[in-house]
Amino acid sequence: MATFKTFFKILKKYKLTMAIYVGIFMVVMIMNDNTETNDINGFYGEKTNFTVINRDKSYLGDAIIDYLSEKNNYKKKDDNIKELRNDLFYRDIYYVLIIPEGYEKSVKNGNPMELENMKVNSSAKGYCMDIEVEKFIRAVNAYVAAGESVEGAVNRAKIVAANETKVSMVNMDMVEDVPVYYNYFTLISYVIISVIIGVVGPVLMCFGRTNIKKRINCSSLNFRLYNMELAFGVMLTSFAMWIIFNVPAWIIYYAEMSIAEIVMNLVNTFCLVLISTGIAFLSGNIAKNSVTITAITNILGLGMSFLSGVFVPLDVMSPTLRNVAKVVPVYWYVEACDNIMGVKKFSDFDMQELSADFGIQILFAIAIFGVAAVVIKKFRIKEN
Amino acid sequence: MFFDLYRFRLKILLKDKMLFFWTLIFPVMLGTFFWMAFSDITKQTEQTGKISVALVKDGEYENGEQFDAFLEQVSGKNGKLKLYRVSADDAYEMLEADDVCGIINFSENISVEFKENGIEQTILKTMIDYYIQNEQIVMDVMKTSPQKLENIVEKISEDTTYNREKKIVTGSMDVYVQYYFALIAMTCLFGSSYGMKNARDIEISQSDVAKRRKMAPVGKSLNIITDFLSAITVQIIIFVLLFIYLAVFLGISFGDRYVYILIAGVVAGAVGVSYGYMLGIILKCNENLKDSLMRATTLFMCFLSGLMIGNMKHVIESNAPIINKLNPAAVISDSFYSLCIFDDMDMYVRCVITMVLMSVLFLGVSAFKMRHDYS
Repeated sequence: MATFKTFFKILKKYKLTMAIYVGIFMVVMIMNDNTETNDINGFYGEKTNFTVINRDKSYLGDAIIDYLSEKNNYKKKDDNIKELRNDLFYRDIYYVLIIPEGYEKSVKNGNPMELENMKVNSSAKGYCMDIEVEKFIRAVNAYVAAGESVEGAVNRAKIVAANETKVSMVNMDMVEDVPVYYNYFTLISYVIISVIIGVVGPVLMCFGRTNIKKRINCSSLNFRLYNMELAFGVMLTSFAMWIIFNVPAWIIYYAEMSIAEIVMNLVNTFCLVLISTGIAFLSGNIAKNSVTITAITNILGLGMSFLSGVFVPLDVMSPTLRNVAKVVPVYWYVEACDNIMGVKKFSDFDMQELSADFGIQILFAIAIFGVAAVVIKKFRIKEN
Repeated sequence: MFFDLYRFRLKILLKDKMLFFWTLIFPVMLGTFFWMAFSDITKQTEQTGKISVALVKDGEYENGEQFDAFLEQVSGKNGKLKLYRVSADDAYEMLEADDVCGIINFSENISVEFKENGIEQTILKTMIDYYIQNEQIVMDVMKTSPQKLENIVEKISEDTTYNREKKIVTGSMDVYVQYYFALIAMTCLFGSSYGMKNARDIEISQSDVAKRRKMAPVGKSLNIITDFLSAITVQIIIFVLLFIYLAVFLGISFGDRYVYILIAGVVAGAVGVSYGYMLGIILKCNENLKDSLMRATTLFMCFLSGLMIGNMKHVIESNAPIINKLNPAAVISDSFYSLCIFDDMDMYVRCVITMVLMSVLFLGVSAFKMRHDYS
């Protein structure tokens, strides 16, 4: 058991690395805990955060604010262009309407001044606000031209604005609320990959150092037993990681997760652990120093997670990237997460899709182990 | 002598693979991942192109011609809608397949049908509301003051806009560009690795290299100056390479004031190097722990400046602005942000002055501590 014991002795050195990744994961989980549910049935318009800078300080200016606030969210802001730019950039507001001084007077005279607006470039919300503003202003101008006072025109404009298009919803897509545990299982993929590569990889690298290898080879240690103990150490570590990263989900989300979801998520994370172990095995055997392992961990951990929809949903990425993502194993892990979420019974799972997701992950793992075996053999021949 | 020392130190710093990975490869990689994730996100979530709509005509609508004319206008070359005039069955099929966002039913009354809520649906409904409102105004005026009808029709259908857009920025208004500002801040602050290496190689209590250098007939101050300048040079090279990669290869818009961008990059690099010097001198622990502390503190600063959560800096600005004023990562990020968003240079100048003061402070603390240890 000398090899097995040494494996864990070296592994102990990397407990800080593991703690850092778990810490990052917990922080990100807390930051991401903003699941919103929408209980409104039927049609509801998108509300836009906007502000109005009423330099005219007139009745008409206030009426415009009132009108726009009916369907959107008005946020009071100071007349400071720099701060308004800041607010637009950070999307605190999407639209700024500036009513110039003397505006009401110009409307009364029948020669209305132009309003000014600032909006997030080419935003759909800005476009929608443009129509709303134009709609109200034209109605007021029309009634003033018909002989109404500004107050009368505003009232009549509000009355006609109440005549809205009839909207009905057909075969409305029942937007399923994303289960609270979904983020946990998608984000954990980053942690699993990074921890397994970042912890198992360096240990294997230590065993693979030429001098150590030569010393082991000339010792009385049985080569087969040595390999078996090493493999057992790797498997036990990966198994422990698998359990360690699943248990918190059972504890935190015990009320939300059904047995079927727990089992399927266990299978899914197991497939990912296999892939990560394969990558760790490969990198541990080819890396010459810790810099390479660090590079592999960061590049693969972050790269695969970004590309597979772990941090940013795939549907907001470009179609090309979505296609490229299919060659990344984590993509199939996230796909499986999507297929598992919210299904409460085993019989309700789309087994065809799920088995494809799991199967592809296992195939990736086999391929990585295969590549590792070939690479190790080549290295050995080169060394001999 | 000066140039020889400078040249050799530069070689030493550039050959350190670990530092090279963290200061250039890692930021380039992270920038690429940001680009993969965010390059299309604004287009997908904030913008909208032409809105595809199915139009179903059933029976005769009494103002059919006007509505037709309205639809022609809003679905023309510069219009927002893309109309498909189809039968009811085809329209439902298209809606089901997400080929259109809604159906306009053009029968006794105008109505719309959607299968989900969203900004495209809101725009479509608002446009039709606009038409219905105008129709109502005409009917209203026809009843009350028919003599003014012609004038009113002219008023509501004239082609002028009453609401003009004011252009606000020269650079990008893409909210995700702030991740790249924070990334540049991280790169500059990771330059502290070079500062720390320099500190290690000059303090005899910290390394054998420092002891050997102490034995050489070269003044300590000359060594410190050449070390510092070579670290700054490496940082400038890294900054320029990263900037070219982000701006040219990934197409991130940072505005076009390149000279100011370079000045900000150089000063930010100095902040990073001097921060590393300070940590290297004042921390009395082993190399690994020092390195971890340096990386943890710089990453925490970057977290506060929005590297992990984009609007973090704005949230801090609204609640505790003093943190942004004191956080080097936020100040560096703000200097690039100001060049991108504002026309005037007030904020930029303030940021650069703050960075210079920070560098002086870090170097001052290092010098004080070095002198104190020496005596």
